[in-house]
Amino acid sequence: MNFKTWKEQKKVKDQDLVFLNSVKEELHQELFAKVSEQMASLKPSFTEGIAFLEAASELILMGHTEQLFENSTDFPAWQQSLKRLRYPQTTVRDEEQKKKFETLPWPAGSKVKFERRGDKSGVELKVFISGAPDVTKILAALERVQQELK
Amino acid sequence: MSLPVFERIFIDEASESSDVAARVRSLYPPEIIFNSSSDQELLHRKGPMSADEYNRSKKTLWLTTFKGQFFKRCPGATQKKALTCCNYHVLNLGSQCNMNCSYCYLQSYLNSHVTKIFTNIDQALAELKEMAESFPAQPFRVGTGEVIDSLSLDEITLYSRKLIEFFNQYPNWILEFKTKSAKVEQFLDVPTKGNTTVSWSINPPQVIEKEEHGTARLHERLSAAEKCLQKGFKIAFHIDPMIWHPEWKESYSFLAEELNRKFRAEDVHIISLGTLRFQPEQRHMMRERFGMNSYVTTAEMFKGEGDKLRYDAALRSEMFQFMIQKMKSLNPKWNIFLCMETPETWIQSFEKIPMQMPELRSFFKPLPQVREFQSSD
Repeated sequence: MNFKTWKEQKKVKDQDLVFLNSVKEELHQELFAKVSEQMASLKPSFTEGIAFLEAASELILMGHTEQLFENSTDFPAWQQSLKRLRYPQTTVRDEEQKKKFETLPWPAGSKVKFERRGDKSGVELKVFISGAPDVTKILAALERVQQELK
Repeated sequence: MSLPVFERIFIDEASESSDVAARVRSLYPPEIIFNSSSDQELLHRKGPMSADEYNRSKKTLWLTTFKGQFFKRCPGATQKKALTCCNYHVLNLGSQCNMNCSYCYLQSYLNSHVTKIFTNIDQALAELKEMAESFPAQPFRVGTGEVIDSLSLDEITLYSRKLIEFFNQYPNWILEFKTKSAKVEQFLDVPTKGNTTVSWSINPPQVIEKEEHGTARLHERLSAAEKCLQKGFKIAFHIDPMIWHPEWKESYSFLAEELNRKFRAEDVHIISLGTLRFQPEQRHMMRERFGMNSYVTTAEMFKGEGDKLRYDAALRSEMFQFMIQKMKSLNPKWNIFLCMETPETWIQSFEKIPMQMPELRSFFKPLPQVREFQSSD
């Protein structure tokens, strides 16, 4: 699928691509065209595609060229690559925090998932409780987590 | 002092006899001054602006009258559930700014295609008088720098003089000018009862150079503050927005040291801290107007409280804690608070919320609601 067809299929309006107002130089426009054609071939959804193109346009304006196309044959991997380029410090900070959180003494049997939610990153913790003793154990474990986080 | 640059100035019929119109005619060449009837379409045009239209709106001045309520609560107060608000009230005597900061929130706020100065200040003072006489003992803080810089156009309006004189009648009320200019000479001869605070939004020189276009340099702002202090005005500083850049710790250390070198903590009423934040929809305008060679447009921002884009919460806390510790290490007496921040960030930065801090309690104590005034429309 080419970019023109993707735009038609996803009913993309000019206003959705307002970020292109900043992409004025010919070289930048050529690079954007290449990114958008490659992206369309991977058939992302409307929301994913628009967010991806905006990030790509910013990275183009920031002077990135070849790095833009790393992992460009797999859309989720390509998204991650661009995210790392656009948010380098947050990526590093999140990775460090993830490592730190993974080593914490979470309650036995709990499921811990690290994620970013807006301007905060942290873990989502899922626990299974069948009675008061479970609660006691979980609270004791969480107290140990709290101590290590202080 | 150089005069603010306008390419065209329009004057409404109702504003023709105002002091501001007379002053504009004395300061600017007649060939750029027009009657409002000559371009009604532009003056009344509303709606989102392109980057070019926004740039032009800074160069076109309209002297007109304001038909609504001048005196309002600060927008932070409308998000009290999410943000810790300091009871600031605003008096808007115009809109748009002749300076050009990359992060300016007016880029997503204004929908008028011109800079406005409202010439009916007497109506604004009448509103204030009614509130002040109803609550003379309440410590209302009233700022004039919400949608226009308090002082950058003041050599045209001279409103500072009228406002200082007016507030002298209500010593419990506090008038706050907020500016990035160094324009203070026009009111320094007006006596103050000590309830006018002149405040500066400040940043390290390299941030000013890169992001605060057309503003006074740091040393000019600090020098203007010294002049105000010498004349008995209270002074305050807003280190807001703090902007992350690779050398931010060195830059903000320098800023703290400059403040500490030039001023005694006892002489500075308050220092407020805030980090970069803006409405998501404004990012396109910023990118188009300032490109991606900016600490602001390239910043790593995420949706946070109030749906604004903000730095990562942990980074914000780190920046606040760094600045608070730096200032307190220079002198523990510096009076510091956070602007438009969440209770969580307050706790991470100070280990308490403002109502638990005796030196700040009066700022955050709930005040009577501003009553709705009758619109003259």
